[in-house]
Order: sequence, then C-alpha cells, then structure tokens
Amino acid sequence: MTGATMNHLTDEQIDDALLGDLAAEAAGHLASCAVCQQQLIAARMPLESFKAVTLAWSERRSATMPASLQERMLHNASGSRRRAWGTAAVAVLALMVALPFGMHHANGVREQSSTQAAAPIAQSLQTEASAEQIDSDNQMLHEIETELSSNRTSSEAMELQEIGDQGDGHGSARMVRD
Amino acid sequence: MQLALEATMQSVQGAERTGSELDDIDALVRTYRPRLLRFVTFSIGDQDMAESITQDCFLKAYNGRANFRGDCSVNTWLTSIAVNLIRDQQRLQKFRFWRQARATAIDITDAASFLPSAECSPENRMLVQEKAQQVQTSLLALSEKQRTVFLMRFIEEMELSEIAAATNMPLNTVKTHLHRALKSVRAQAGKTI
Ligand SMILES: [Zn+2]
Repeated sequence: MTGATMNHLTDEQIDDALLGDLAAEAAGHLASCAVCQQQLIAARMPLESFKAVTLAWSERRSATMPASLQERMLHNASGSRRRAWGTAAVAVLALMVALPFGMHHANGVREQSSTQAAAPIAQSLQTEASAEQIDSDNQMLHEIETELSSNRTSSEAMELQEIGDQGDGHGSARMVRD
Repeated sequence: MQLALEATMQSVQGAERTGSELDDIDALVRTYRPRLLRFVTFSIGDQDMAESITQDCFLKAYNGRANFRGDCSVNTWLTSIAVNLIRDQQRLQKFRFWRQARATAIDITDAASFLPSAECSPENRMLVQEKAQQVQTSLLALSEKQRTVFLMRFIEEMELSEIAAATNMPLNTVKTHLHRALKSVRAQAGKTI
C-alpha cells in the first residue's frame, strides 16, 4: 500500500497514463486512488468523444462517397490506367462500358466476363441505340463529367496535376486526376 | 493456459482471414474506409484531398498486399501507408494543406447526432459534441508530426512502438510529440463554453 501514501498524479503523469507509458510506482498509486482514476477518466473523455464523433462523421461521409471512384480504382488496378485515363473522353467511354457490368472485382474471372459482356454493348452503341439507352447514357455521361470536374475544382488539385504531368513519378498517388 | 491456447487459435484464424481479406478489395474498402478516411481527413484537414489519398491508399495496399507480413493489424498497416502518402502529398503541396484547411474547416457539428443512442444518451450528446470540437480545435495548434502521432495514438489506438515504426521516429520523440499534443488538448478542453 505504498501507492496510497504517494502524491496524486501530476498532469504529466495523467498524460503518461493516457499514452500507456505510466511508470510502475505511479501506476501502483493510480490503481488504489479513486481521485486519480477520476482524473484519468476526465482526461480521456474529450479524446473518446473526438474518436466517436469523427468516426460517425467519417462513416457518413464514406457512405456518400461516389461508388464510381471505387470502380475507377479497380479499373486502375487492372493495369490499363494510362490508356484508360489518357483523356477524359476515353475515361468516360471506359466507364460507360465498365460500369454496367460491375467491375467490382479485380480478379481474373470477373475481368474476363466483363470483357466478354462489354463487346455487345459497344456494338449496340455504334448501331441503333434506343432512345432509352441514349438517355441513360447521357445521364451517366453527365454524372461522370460532374464528378470529374468536381475533382478538378480546387486549386491544389490543378497544381497536383501539373506536377504529375511533369514528373509522373508518383503514378499511383495521382490516379484519380490523370 | 486455456486462454493462451484460445489466443493462439484466434491469431491463426486471424491470419487466415487477413490473407483473404486483402485479396478482396471490395471487402477491404468496405471494412476500413471509414476509419482510414477519418485518419487522413483529420491529418490533413482537407476533405476532398483526403478522399483521394484514401483511395490511393487502398490501391497501394491492394497492389502491395504480398508485402503484408501480418506483424501488425491491417488497420495499422493501412495507416502506415496513409502516413507515407500524406507525407508525399504534403511535400508536393509545400505544406499548404493545413493552412488552407483552416479556411474551410471540417464541420463535425452534427456528427454526434449520428452516434448510436445505446452508446450515447441524448444528455451526453451535447457534451460529447462539445468536447470533440474542442479536440478538433486543439489539433489546429499542433505541428504536422504532433497531429499525426496524436491521431495514431488516440484515434487508431496504435502502440507507441508501432507509431515509432510507422513514422520512422525514435520512441522518445514520439512521446515528446504526444505530450505536447495532450497539453494542447487539455488547454482547449479545460475551457468551459
Ligand atoms: Zn491519487
């Protein structure tokens, strides 16, 4: 019971406890002192609050992130990034073909099936697409354009792109904007 | 003994799960995106850039999944990748990230209302919201490194040694940064509104 005779923990020691780095003697005191335990709980409370609130924030934000960003990522993972994202027009075409067939998986099997399925669609686009198809294609085109442009609105994004164009040393870090 | 055996069984199962977990990028993103997005967002203070970096991080992780040795959790591994990407971006940006972010602060004002009511009674919600915002404010006063290690410790719950490894900093430097960060938080959180 040497702990009980020791002075209460200092702020510094409370922080040590928060870091999981409290010296043995102080830890002994803490274990037997309700006052210090209360101090520690009070010190932890803002941190726990921040953790919980930011996770709630992030979960909501993450849920509203455009799914096509993920599609894009997977498309990039398949190794045809350069070709597909050379120009916005090519990118849009690639998405129009890829999206309906759900390139949700980067594994070979799905890749193959989506390639097989993509052929008839490409043909139907070239020949007589129905008015419905044209409408839905236009809508998708518009959505993609909006999304592409929203990725380019901020000034830093533009700067990044310039740097990327010059260097190209950080390909993977720049895939969305290529 | 019983406990030790169970722990071993769990870690074996964990390793198997992790192997397939990394092969399924959909599941990987689904499971870890919110936490990773949070870490990146509050590291750099720019929501749009955070989304982009988060995506890059998953791509890098997926492409480099063979390098994951299972000596830390997947979340810690992803966080380490994110730290490197953030560092690259910050170099490119000439450290303009956070300054700019002050002008367009991330608004977590309503986020407490999304907390599950089981975890957080309505009476507590306001206090939780207030404290969370005080911590967010205190992050503004921190250096990049202080903020990074703070988020790693108190958001991602990484061990001090894991933080040192992920940031390439000596353990004592990590501790110093964390102590400064906590001082800043205490100064803010001590204020009554
Ligand atoms: Zn005490």
